[in-house]
Amino acid sequence: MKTADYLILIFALALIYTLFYRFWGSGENGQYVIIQTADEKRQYSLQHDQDIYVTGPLGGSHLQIKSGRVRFVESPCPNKVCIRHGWLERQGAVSACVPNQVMINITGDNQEYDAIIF
Amino acid sequence: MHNSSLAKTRREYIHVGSMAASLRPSVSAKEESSLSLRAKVAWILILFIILTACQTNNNTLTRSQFLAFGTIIDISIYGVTKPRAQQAIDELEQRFKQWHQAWHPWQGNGDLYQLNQALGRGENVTIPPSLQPLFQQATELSKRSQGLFDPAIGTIIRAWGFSQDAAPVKPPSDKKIKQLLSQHISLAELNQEPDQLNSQGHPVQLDFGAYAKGYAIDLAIAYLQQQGIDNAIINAGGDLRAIGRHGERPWRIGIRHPRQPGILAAIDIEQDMSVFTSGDYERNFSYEGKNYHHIIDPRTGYPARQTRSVTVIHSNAATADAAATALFIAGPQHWQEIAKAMRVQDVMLIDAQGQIQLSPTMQKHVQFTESGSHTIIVSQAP
Repeated sequence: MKTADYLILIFALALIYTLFYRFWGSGENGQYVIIQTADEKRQYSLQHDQDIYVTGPLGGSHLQIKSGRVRFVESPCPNKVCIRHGWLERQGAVSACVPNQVMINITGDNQEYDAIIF
Repeated sequence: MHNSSLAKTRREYIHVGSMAASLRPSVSAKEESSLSLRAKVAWILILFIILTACQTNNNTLTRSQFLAFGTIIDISIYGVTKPRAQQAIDELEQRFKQWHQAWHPWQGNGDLYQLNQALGRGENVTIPPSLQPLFQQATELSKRSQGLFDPAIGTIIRAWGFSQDAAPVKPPSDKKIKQLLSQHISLAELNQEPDQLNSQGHPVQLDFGAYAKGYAIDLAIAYLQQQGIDNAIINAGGDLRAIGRHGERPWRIGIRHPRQPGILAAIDIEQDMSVFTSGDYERNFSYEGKNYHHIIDPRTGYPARQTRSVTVIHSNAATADAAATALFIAGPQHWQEIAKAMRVQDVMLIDAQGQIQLSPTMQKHVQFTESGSHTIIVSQAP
């Protein structure tokens, strides 16, 4: 196998993965979450379960990614709106801990809604 | 690179690739010196796919969020280059933060804070020029709503504690509410001349919480249009205004169910439209088993009880914002007359039993996602 073969192989796999997600993955659920603080903006895959700790002006916020969803577990804000918001999984969904200035939003390849209101 | 030459190389690739390795002609030294034919072909293929992917994905959607007005401002801009869109969003972030400071009723040292200081002492005040357009529209809307939308109930809202960062623990005493109600004068009584507020000796506090977000969104959309941006959504914590389209399709908005996870209905926005919702689940607390929310009826001083949520669609965001509050307070029996007076046509109201009332024009906008699970009443226009 030459480099070119590997490239083609990688490419074919990537194509299968993309097509699988496009046609068999739920069109509503996002693939990534973008977590934004006053200092940084980072993207995480929703396919890998993990706990994320970020810092804001009030202290540390703890976020959890599990089974393709994300939520605030703990945050040093007075009213805990962010925690009560619960799990987010749908593309276009946004949530925030406003006092601690931590924002999360769910993105993906085929967003069904441009905005979600409640 | 032209597509025709790509097509040719692809055919070549298929030709080469379909032969068994042993049958392949040995590569000439000339070709060996650069890249092998197969490597070339592979690179061309990859380039081709990357290029075509760029062509088909030529959606110039820029989406960005920032925090202002105590919520997330989520802006989507379609059809201009990313740098231009981002520049406009950065400018709006500054403006939203300035507006929030200027219109905050009891924090900082903005224009409204200073007005409230004087009004709280029962003085008469001249409205500074910067606030006059805001007052003009708010007073007009308050009159039309028959006082159900009333920014002059600031003292009562403060007594409930919904204006603080921390959620309230218990409701104010009955006595306290009655005392504040007895001193209450409406914005219409207060603001009878264009640039004057006459408190008539009453301690008054103004709170534009049911309106300022809509008013700000209108200003922000006007700014985008000045910048030559015709396709955008400004979503402030679930209340939004959208202009134009998302390229080939209209903007698509999902309405979350007020009591369970998932989307209740979808709205496609075809032209300039604002969608505002007032709900009893937005800010609330429980005390001795009873739930209290933040939408206070100016007539009673208590949260309005007959409604779960109201969604209003209107071209003007400030009108939609104020109307959502007024119709929530008006409730399932009386919302139609208030809607008519406020010149609002598109209304969805979910009452305390979970029944959904729609105005006939609203029915055209809203597609329910699981319509079997709730009662929908299309109300005839009053």
